[in-house]
Amino acid sequence: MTVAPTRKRFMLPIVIFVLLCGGVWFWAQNVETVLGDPTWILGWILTASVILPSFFNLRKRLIAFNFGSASVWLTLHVASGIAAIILFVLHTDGIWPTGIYEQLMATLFAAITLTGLCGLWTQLVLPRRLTETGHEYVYEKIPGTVADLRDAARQAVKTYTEATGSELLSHHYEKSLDWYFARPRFFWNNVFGGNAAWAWANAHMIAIRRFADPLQSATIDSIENLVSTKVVVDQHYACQSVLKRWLLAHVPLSTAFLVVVAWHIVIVHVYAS
Amino acid sequence: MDAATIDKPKRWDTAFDPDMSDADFDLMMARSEIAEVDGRFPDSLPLEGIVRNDMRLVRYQRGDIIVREGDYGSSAFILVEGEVQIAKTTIPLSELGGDGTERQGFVQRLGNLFRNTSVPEVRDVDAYKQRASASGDRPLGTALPDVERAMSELSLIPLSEGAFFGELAALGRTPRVATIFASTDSTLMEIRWQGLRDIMKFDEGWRKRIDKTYREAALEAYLRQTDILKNLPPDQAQHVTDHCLFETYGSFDWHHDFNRKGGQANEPVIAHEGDYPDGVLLIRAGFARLATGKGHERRTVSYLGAGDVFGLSELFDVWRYPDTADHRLSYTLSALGYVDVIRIPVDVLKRFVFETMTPPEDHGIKLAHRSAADDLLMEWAVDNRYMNGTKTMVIDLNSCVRCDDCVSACAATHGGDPRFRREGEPFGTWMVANACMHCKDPVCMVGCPTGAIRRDRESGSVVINDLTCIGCATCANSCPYDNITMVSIRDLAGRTILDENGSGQPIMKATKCDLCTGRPGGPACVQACPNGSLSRVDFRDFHVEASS
Amino acid sequence: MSAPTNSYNRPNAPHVCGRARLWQKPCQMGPKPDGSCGGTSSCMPQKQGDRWRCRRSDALGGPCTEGPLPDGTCTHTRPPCSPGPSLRARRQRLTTAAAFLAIGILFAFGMAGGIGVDDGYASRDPGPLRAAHTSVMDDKGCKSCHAPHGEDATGFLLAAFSNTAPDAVANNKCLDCHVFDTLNTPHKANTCASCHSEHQGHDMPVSSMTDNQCNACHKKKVSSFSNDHPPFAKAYPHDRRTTINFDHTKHLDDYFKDQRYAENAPEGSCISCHDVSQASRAVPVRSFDQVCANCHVDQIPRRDLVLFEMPELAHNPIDTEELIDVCRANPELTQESEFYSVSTEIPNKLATLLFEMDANDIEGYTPAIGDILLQAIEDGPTAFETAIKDWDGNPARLLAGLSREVIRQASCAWAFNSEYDAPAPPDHGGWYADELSLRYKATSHGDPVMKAWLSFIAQLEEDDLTETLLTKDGPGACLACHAVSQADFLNVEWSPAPRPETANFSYDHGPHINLLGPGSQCETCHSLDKTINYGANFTSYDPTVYASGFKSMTLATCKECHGETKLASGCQTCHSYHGESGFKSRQFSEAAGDVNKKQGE
Repeated sequence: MTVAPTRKRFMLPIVIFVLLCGGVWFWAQNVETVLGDPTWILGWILTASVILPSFFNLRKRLIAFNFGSASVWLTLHVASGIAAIILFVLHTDGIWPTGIYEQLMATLFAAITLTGLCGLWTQLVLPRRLTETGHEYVYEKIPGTVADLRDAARQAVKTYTEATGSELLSHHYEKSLDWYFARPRFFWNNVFGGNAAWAWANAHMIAIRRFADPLQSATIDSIENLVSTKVVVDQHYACQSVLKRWLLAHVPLSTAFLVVVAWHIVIVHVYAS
Repeated sequence: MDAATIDKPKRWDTAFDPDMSDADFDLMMARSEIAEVDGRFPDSLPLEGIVRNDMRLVRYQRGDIIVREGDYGSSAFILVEGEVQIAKTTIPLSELGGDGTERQGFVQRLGNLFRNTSVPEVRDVDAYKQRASASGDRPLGTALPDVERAMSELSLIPLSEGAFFGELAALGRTPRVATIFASTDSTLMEIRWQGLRDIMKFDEGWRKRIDKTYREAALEAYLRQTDILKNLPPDQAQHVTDHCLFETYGSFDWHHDFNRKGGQANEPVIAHEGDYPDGVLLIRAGFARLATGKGHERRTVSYLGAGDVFGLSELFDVWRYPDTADHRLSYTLSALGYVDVIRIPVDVLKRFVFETMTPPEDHGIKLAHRSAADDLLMEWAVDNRYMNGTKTMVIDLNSCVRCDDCVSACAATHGGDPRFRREGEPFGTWMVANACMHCKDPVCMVGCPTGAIRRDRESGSVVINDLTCIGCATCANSCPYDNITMVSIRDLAGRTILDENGSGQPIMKATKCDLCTGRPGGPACVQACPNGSLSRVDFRDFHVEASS
Repeated sequence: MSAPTNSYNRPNAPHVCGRARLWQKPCQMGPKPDGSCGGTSSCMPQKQGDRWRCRRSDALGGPCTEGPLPDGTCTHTRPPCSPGPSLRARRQRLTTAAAFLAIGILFAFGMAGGIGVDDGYASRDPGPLRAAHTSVMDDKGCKSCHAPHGEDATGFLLAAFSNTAPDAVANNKCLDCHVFDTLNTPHKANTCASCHSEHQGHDMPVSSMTDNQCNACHKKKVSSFSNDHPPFAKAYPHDRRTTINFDHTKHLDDYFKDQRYAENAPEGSCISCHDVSQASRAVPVRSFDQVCANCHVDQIPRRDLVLFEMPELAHNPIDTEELIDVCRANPELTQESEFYSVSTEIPNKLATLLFEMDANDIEGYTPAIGDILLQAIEDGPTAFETAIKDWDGNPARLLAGLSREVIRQASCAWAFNSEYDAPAPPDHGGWYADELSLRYKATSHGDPVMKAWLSFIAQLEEDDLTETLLTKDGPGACLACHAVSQADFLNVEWSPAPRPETANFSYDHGPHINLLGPGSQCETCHSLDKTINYGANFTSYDPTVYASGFKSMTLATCKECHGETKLASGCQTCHSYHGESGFKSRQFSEAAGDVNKKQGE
């Protein structure tokens, strides 16, 4: 248990679930051949494959009880969700249904699937990127860290200004680095793994070095260190933001979806038993 | 808002025996062991106070069990009256009436779901008010099921009046090595180790005597368990024991030095690479660094803990192949903190041991495949003294999504208060978080004035008894890894509970991971991680897997 | 090691320091449990003795120089922040909001029904109806098919637990308007909805069934028409003989080409007689007058039906004295001493049967004949009516047109033992009498009296009569063409035999005929078998003993055009699932529906 489970642990359950869906499809074909209507049972199977992932949230709340490890639950959650896509297409015999309730459900389902897959991508891709920055920052502490960096940068600029009497650095700081140290920047570029922050920082540091007093190189070095640190902090802020906030979309959508599913089941039973 | 207040707890708020009668007290004071104490005790810590509060007279009936083999106890005993027996042969735990850790029932855990609050560190104040009568250990009340059979079948060592036993386990933070029970109705003086430690600190007579006993008794029992000596017939084993040398390196309170200097802490060298050994070193307690190279190229290859040997393969090779083998030590051994070493001389080995011993594994081949990067992990671990941990929380940063589900789970299992922090120094792709590692050498237990922090009997986890803790922060300050957190407690309304005698000081309690003792399924943090990134490892096993 | 009250250590804490939200340094204290700022003061002063001491942490600069106020409050205060909800708290709020929003939307749509859409498209409508059904539900709306639609909430929810689908077996709403033979059909599907789905759009086809679905039940699996379709029956489709003895080969090859008849023969080949414009399952033949009369019309009046022939009498059965006045006879005729019968014949078979006479017993039948004559003279056709009725005949049909005058005059003559001095036979058919018999001459093809007599004779099933009268040379020459067949009973087949009902199969000549112009493709399937003697088919009464004048149709013929790579060849091209189906009139108009209701339908 000391080596962390790999991303490949998702493979086998997904394959198994997809094969099961294949079996379901085959069964549905057989039923149609004998003039039966498989939509009914497909609906119940789809309901099961949608309710099962929602138990994951329940399991997290009941952590005091020994219901199995969360990583197994997550694997089942993902596999069941992917199976649900296939079952959805089988159940609705297409992608987009007629009828307003059904279209509402399809929209919510699509949104949940999309956010889920995006969330899965973030969980598989972003942690490695964070580790590879070489530093670790706690998300909730980042405001304090940024505030500290900002204070230190201002202090450094003050030191330089007092030492040289020149307005160069403070002027430059006002125009550029002040914005930079105000809060985490280059959010989306960092999410998608771009290097805009580094490029911007480099450009400004080159400019400062070019025109700064060589005698104050220690101060300039300290500013450069602060800027470099902030680049990493920004990366952490962006990636961890996505890692923490994507659930703000996924979970509420799924709650709304389950409500609509319950209503759909009632309607379908009333009008078409 | 009127603040909530209670009486601030002090060192002797919880006496070892709150109902001690004056007669008992006089009896104990009159004992020669106590009466002969002539050290100078400070006013805040008088000998009478120690006797009154850290000792008690316990009366046992014939057959009562005094200590169980394997228990983590924290008291020493002086036999005042009667006769007790040390059982040399192991008595099965079932007969010792070993009781398990309380498990929380299903219903209780269901109720916890609703009792968890978002108010941090809520305590039930009323329970505290009854703490004077609470005590840390449970009373020893069990007895042997069949005393006669035990007396006739087991191999026993009798102890008579004046016998002093149990101090090794109490002081060494090790489990009891044997079961001791009363063969007649007996009276014993029980000293909990805080008292023992304090008397040792101030009285030389006690210090010397305990030291001597420590060496003699510990040595014998320990040697009998080691791999290289366990096949020896008893008379030869006796020879070996007689000729062993007993050495100690480093200081008992290594953690203070470490807290100040970290990886640069004082590390006395026990043996140098390239030296000629004159005996095998058996590590009895503590940790020692095994390194190769000199100066800035010194690389930590491994570490040795209790039970490991140093120099054995070199000496064995020489005995086997006297013409070709290289006699010299392959590695440098240095003490990490505090090391008890037993040196078995070469001639003793040649005469008694090497014949019957299984040839040792040569680790050199395995270790030769490692690169500098592999060694760096070990270097980092040893520098940070992580090898001390038996349940170190290690997080794989490549798969950790920073969701804090582990912390939430810990909080959910502990009334809404998490017992660790998901922070720590990352190394490569691993991070050791600030969660109690349940060390082999729990330095946090050193110095607890009330015995609130103790090793759980069954699981070996180090737990803090919230009722007894006085919030002195000794354990928190001792912990070299910053894993114990002091918290100010609140009532249900969210008001900080303050000292009732008006100083305005909040009542503090020490909190730390308790490894979820009593929770089926083990630690909640491990179960809760959706990617399985979190594990509680013994660093030795972890190191081998991670870097091979 | 300070108290972990900030959210980075307590992810379950619902509040986050407000300064952090503004990207300033969050305070060490963190928000209070009630959500207000907990960091307004820098420390919690401690009382020692009677003085208060500052306990500010080292991180914030250590104890301050000012110290606390005498009452213990800290002097280093700052304005409170406004803590915000933590991520987890926000997620919980969003989730609750989403759930309620969903419930709200469903409520709104569910209660109100149509929102913003013109055509009354109720929100519960899962799709537009088939065009045919749209008009049906104009008045009652959804309730036409879905009973629980208009119920209140309780009824609605209860309906979820019982089968209230429109095609439920218990209360099948489809059958309110549609009629199917659900009893005798070999096909018994589960429910209507198995194949027919509604709410799929205006122009959705009624049902699309695949060949696979047919194969699911049929033991003989047909993968495609050209591969596995079972061969047609041996004599397909000629399983019983035609009702008209028409030898196609002889007519087409011989008669029509014969010089004598050539100018009367119909022009063109098949379509000159078969009316292509009426082509459906069969291509009906035009009427006799249109196609056959040219050659055959003269045959019909040639053979008469003899109703009564005066037989040889043993003696004079009648007292002719009394008949002198009625018959206006010469009294001298009655004074003959010896009686010599005017006729030397035996009674005709028809009369023999009708009056139950024994033709050989002259003594026996003579008085009967006398009675007949007497009654004939007196009452006319009534003489025969009783006998006819006794034999279950209908005198109105059989004796239509028979006048009393003819009968009286003839009977009078015969009563006086003399031949009737008849005028010439009628030019245009009808009842007449000649010297010694009462006859009927067919007027035209399809003469009703002749038809009636032949049918009557057939149902009598008297071999005597049948063998003599129901022949090619029989009266009217009807049976020269029309067949006499024995089914349950013997009957003359006047109409073309309908093809037997095949509920689940249909063939339509229409599309096939006009492919290259009408009449050009008949021989593709109907090819003459010139080896057959067609007339031999009509020698017995069994219509199924039959060798057709056409070669039987084979699968190969159809496969020339229908098959996997050619024209439509699915099962449903020729076979249908439902057999006969129809509608109840109820659905067409409300008035009709009410009428039906009143009739207690």
